[in-house]
Amino acid sequence: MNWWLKSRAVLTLAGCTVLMTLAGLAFGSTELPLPALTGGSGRFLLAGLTPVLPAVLWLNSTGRVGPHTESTAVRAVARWDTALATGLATAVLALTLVGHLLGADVIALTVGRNTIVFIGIALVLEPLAGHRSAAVLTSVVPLFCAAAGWRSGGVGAEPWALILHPGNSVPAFAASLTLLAAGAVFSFVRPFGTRASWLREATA
Amino acid sequence: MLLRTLLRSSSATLMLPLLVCFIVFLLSDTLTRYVTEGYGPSAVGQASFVLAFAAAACAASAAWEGARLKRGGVLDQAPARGPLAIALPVLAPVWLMGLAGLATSLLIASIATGAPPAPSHLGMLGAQGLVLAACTLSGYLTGRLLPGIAAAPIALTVGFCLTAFPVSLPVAWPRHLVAGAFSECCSVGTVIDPKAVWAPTAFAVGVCAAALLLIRRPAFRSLVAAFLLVAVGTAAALPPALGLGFSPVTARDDGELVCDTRGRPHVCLWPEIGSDGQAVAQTRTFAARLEAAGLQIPATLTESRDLKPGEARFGFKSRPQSADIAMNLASAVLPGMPECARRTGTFRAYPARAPLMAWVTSVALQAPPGPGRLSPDDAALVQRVLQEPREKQLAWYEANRQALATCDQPPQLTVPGGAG
Repeated sequence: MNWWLKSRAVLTLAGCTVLMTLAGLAFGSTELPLPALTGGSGRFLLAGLTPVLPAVLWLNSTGRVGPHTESTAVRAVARWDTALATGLATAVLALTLVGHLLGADVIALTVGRNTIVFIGIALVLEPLAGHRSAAVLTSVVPLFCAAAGWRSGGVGAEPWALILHPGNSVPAFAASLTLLAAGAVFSFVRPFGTRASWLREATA
Repeated sequence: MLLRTLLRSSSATLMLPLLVCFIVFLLSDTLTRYVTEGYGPSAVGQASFVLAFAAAACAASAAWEGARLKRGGVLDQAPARGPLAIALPVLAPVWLMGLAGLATSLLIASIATGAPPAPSHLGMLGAQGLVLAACTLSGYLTGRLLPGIAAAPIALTVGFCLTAFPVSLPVAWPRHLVAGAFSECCSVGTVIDPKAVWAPTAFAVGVCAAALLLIRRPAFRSLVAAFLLVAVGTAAALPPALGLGFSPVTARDDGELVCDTRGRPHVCLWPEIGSDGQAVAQTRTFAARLEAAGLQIPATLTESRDLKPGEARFGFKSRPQSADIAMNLASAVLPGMPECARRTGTFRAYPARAPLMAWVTSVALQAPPGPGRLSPDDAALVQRVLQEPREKQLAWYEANRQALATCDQPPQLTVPGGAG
């Protein structure tokens, strides 16, 4: 356990996640003037970008040792990593919910939900594409949502662009929890086992 | 390194189709929505919407390359080539990928504008290329500094924020440092201000020089020197940036106006709007109708800003419809805001301006005023006036027109002698 904690730098990871969440609470309401906004199609907030960092840092911590080494370990290290991701997501959710109850405005809920969405995406992508590519693909998701996620006609976000919805949207929150659960199960079970995809091999 | 090895192993080769597809499928809607038809500088200006995304892609790719070189321990093994000679060939495909993204968006915007990008405005592309080079070099440094897997995503996010975010600040000058406001160029009567091209050039050159120094010699002294270089670049960029407002455009030279003097009134428009003669012909038709109704038309209608006596301001931001021409003619015929109103703030006749504009437009178009532009009271008033005999309409017009030229005369919002 000590070895795993040290290798994943769990304390640093948890500390950075908390810092990122607090920074998101402080600056999350800042608007980024994306070109897609100038039709009245919506506001892209910084709270859609900063929650990428906990997911990316988790991928960094867990990916530093190559997959080939760790797949031969006696203990299922990958499952511990999945548990770590889920724990981070729960911690951020608890932090933001408590913050919101204590008086922070709706942006706290947005930051919490977006962190869960990105961790869920990272959990889904990591067995498929490897840590490096999953990190880059996860960080492209906010830009993709910003460019393609607004419904034409300016009436809100597409259903699949979870990070664009307002913080108090219950369907988006439920969808994000579902995504996290699905990602955790997928990453836990790893139906492809140690068979690596082309992308995972090329970028390991 | 062999060229084919370089291209085969570079992350830019993978990113290029992703970036191009991103631009073509997701951003082309935004690129083509606000172009000014037929005006070359507008193609260059609208193409700059993609700068933030191309900068993010360049930073991410460069960070990926930097992290790869760090992982391979290349610089720790006493290489024969210096750090710059190792880094620059690897970063060149990344920068070229960013330029390819810019070229794609320029192509899309040019097709939508229907005009080739104006050669006088290609400096904007040069400034954007330098901004991309600065992002590439800084991304490479990020890749060498940050932990390997986190480097590219962090560089992507930070690169995107640094190029997209300054436009939203309440202060004007940061956006000009990163060429963030270029997409405001240009409507037909404006061109880009050269200061808006020099500011990001100076800043990007400062950042590039600092990054090159740090790549070559990563020591504390170089860090201090790099800060100084960035400070010098910013200091060189600040005077032009502060001299601009929120908008990087400036008025177009009046010498480019094309004046049609073959009929009355003379009409001077920008070549993109007036050269096919249609707008001029319609203006003259409407002017003839207004003169037949008894109104006085100025002798010359011009886009120029310095008006000589007998001229009135008349022009369009893009190719006009009939209704636009009629409305512009109406505002050219009516007097402007009097000086006393600007000074004292009272303008009693102001409520008459909207009905008067609508009436003149209706006479020119020979159609009742369209819905939606007027308040219900004004619309009803204009309808009543239009039903009166010609002399009464003209008297109503003249009375209100005179009131609009003063500050203390009240408007005449009822039809004289009628049941208004």
